[in-house]
Amino acid sequence: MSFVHLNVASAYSAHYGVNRPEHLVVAASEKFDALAITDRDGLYGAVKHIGACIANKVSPIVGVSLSVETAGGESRVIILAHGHNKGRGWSQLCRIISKAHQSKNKKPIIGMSALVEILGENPACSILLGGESIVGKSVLEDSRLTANELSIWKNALLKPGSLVIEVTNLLTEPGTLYSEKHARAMLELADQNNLPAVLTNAVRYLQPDDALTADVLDSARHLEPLGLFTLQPNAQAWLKPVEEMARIALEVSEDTQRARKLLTSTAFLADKCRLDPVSDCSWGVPKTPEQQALGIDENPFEVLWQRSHSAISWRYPAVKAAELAHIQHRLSKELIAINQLGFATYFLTVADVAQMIRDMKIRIAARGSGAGSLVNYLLGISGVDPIAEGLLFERFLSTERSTLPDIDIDVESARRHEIYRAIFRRYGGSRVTLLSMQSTYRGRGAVRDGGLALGLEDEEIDDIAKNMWRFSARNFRKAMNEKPELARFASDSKENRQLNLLVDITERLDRLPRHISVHPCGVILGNSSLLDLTPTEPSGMGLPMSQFDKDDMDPMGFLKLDVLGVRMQSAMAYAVREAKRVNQDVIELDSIAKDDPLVYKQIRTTNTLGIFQIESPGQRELTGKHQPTQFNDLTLQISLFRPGPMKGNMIKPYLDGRHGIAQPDYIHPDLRPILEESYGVVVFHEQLMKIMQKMTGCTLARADEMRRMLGKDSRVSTIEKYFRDSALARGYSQSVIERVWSIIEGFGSFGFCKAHGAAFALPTYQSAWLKTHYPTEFIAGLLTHDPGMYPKRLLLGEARRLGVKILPIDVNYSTNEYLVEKTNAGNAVRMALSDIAGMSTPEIERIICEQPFVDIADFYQRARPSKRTMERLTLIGALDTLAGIAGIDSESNRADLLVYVRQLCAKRPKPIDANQLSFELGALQNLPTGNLGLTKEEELENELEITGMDISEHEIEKFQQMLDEMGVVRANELVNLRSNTEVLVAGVRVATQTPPMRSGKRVVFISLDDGTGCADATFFDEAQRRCASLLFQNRLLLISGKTRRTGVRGVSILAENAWDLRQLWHDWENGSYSWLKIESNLMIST
Amino acid sequence: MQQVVTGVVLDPDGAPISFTFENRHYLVSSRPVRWYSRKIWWQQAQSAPKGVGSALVEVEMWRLWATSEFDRIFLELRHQQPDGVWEIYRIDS
Repeated sequence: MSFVHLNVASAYSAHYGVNRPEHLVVAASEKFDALAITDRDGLYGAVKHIGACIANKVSPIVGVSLSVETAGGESRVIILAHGHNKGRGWSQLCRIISKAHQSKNKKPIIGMSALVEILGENPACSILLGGESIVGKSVLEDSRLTANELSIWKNALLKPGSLVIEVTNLLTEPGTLYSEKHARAMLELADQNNLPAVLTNAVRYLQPDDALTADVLDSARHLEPLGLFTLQPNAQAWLKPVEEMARIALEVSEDTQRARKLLTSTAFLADKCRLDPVSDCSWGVPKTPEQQALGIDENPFEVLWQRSHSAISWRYPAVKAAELAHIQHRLSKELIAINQLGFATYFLTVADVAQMIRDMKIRIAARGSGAGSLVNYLLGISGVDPIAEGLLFERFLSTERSTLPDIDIDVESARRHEIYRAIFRRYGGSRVTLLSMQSTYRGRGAVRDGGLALGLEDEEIDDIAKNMWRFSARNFRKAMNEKPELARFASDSKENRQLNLLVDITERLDRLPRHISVHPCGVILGNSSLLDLTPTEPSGMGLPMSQFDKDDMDPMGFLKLDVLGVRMQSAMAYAVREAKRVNQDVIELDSIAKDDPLVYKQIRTTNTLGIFQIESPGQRELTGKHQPTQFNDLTLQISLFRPGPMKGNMIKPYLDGRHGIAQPDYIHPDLRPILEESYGVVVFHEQLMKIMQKMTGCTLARADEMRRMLGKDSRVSTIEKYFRDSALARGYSQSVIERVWSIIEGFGSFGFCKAHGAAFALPTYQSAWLKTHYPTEFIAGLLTHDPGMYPKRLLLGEARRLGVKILPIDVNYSTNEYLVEKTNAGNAVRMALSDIAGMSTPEIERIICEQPFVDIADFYQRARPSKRTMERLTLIGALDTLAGIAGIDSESNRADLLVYVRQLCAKRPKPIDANQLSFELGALQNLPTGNLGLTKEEELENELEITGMDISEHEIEKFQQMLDEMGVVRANELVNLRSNTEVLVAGVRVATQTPPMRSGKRVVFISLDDGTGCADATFFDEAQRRCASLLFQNRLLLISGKTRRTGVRGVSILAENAWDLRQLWHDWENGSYSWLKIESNLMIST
Repeated sequence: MQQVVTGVVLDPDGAPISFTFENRHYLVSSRPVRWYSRKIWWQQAQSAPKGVGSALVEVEMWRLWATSEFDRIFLELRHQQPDGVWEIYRIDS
């Protein structure tokens, strides 16, 4: 006897199913020869299901659980695609789902007529009416309703076999839904109507234990604590084995004969629905837009050949003959490989998109291994010269592999939606969709939804969630016993039953899919059959999005193009635009020379704030030690500052070699040319490939294949044998082989693709160039597009340091962008309206549209700001010039203005009339005088509260007296101190990082900004324990510790303790100042 | 205090055949119907580690008629886990 589960929800039925498709299939493969996946509202888990089925030799069956609207009301039914029909079933299923998601309701639902229309005369799907259909819900209560509804379905689906009754017995209370009695009634209904019946278990989880997780998911779906909504009836909806299902069949039918018939008809439908992945889903068959969609008549390969050859003179003008031969040779090699793999159309497609983006005057850069291809460089997809930078094509694409390569392109983030729309227009809606992304439960999300299920207070959950750093939810219990910031929670949970439960259910939720959203950059480009192969749903952007995620692309043979919006590209484009608008300077950022000494000098100061990729505290520290002088140094630095190289302790030998502290060790003279650039340290994938090639004589393509296999334990010994044998045969000594192999073996997680590093280094250099030569425009770009990791207020600090002038918000000049303004003293940045808290977009738009204003009343009448906005604008001085109180000799002050504004707002502005002047609202001479003006401190507080930025001076200034008394050191003075000096630093927290370390122990880096620069403090175990919850929570901190020199311009602080600066200030002001406490602490530690 | 039945004898499928209640010996006289009811674990459980989920979520129930020398009663029995105690959930005579 056999049985197949035909109704199975995986975890991709978000907030419903509990187990991943892969786990379900592996478990099923021991007992079943086929398994269905029928996720709610989509095929979200289908590709993973099919992949797992292929790997485990189980026949895949795919369907969906979907709502259908009939004349009688709404029914949720299972729709299964029939297989082995050249994809007709799969395509109908996809189109039904896509249609349901176009519904005008909030939820996906398809009307009966639309369903019938898609199924057509020859339906290739079966529809199962079960417990969630009107038929199933009414069968025990209202036989007339049941009969009515069933006749609607029978009349709509005439072909035998397309309508099926689903019989499910979840052993619920007798007489209720999914009870034995209910199942029996469904079976009888099928018999009376001469419809086939199938037995299912409406599976939501793999094992009974998972039912508890399902309870928590139900709570998250209902957004209600457990107990406030209808619970699942029990824990029976699991993937029961054949014997259990046979027993249920017998209990339901009470007759061996009928039980067998039920199981037979279940097996019959299962057989009909077994899919052939290749012929039904076009599994693994690469799909690219058709030639005509690309506007090509000739053979695509010939077009590619011609286009890339003719671009040589563009990319390499005035090249010498020998070099030209080299270029042509490499190009031929790449083109032959591309042709062999049949990817010519793919490259033409990406080039076409790149050209389209450039035609739209949008900045574009390649990222990833694609920068290693000369073809990409010549086609304008990438801006990095792979020959000059020593990048290898084989790392990107090789004939040893046939998966579609990834070419990722970065564009201006602010304009990426424009690009997506243009791609849809160019290739047509039948060939393009956006890509989706499943976000999964991580620590904080899991603890929040777990807390919700248990009915904990929001603040309580918040407190716990805030302290969850850098561990996965499944290790919650382990983490809370180890991490100081969770110590209090750990002890609370011993006393508190609910908190203890919270730990367990948080662990259960870890990694489960949570919700689907648009992938931030993925676009699928297919041929005209794309919508037969993937279901789509609307995205927030209004463009359709595939239900498949990035991991589904390769198996489905879809070409995914990553068009990633990068804010830095927007910021740079903005700076270039402002330079042209204000000064008529034309900057060709993509053609600037990459060897400007001023740019490297600027980088070497370590004031890298705002520079792409190297502004983080860690990169800043590394910049201080590294002192880059050329483009390749940037590539190296970006590649080195990663978890792998840091864990592998590669940075120190590299720096020692570079600064002449140690003699680089090349192991063998043959390796010197390969490793010279990195002083003997193997940093890049490309270097490893060249070493393999040199020492074994294999091709670079083969070398890359072996490099990829190093990550797979099962293959390492094969590679080792090959390497040792071949190197020995080529005459390398045993000791050289030994040493090189130990590097190769450990390389897996350490190395980085040089092409990727070089692709990143380009915007790094470009942004540094702008910061060096156009600081005002660059700061304006950074403030407008906010590309970095730091708060804007820190950028203002950097502007002050650079001597870039900042002009205050002014309703007559400010817009939603940080404009560059010409002043008598040179260019300056005008603060924008967009950072004023609580100000609506229409309010901002009205101000921009109505500028300029003649006086306050005119402003109030035409810009129509809310009372609150009006007050806020007053408080931050945005109305000062308009009110004529900007000068120091003005009779009135901001407090006077506020009084006036409040009076003004008390009157209702009349409808706008162009002829009516603003006299009656009161002209300026009515401005009161004599109110007590705001202090500098109050003005600063207003700025911080309203804009989040300390525009007039740095926030830390107000503590200065106390800090001076304490002897607190300024960040820019640290560099002058000896190593191991006891110091106190204070400032605003601007970054907190916990990178993975070599030892496996956690280290916390906190950067404080005090207006003169950043002080970076490192907290090890003991220090973390001392300041526990302060570590991740307080914004204003005082840190004590010792200086640690890390390089020529690198200093960091080895932290010993930290205090809440506001608390100290409070104590200091009250005279109960605990300086002694700090001091005694310092003394103990010395 | 929950009323408890003792000396429960089961068939190979786990269905009760006979038991003792208030010193009377009962034989099950109908086809007993097995079903599973809910438990409100979030109000009771101390912890919910992997493996104990189903025992926290549901409880096995049997609906049956039973006959003794003296009477015939309708019963709903609850089979508690993990201690295996059989409790009377509902009784009608």
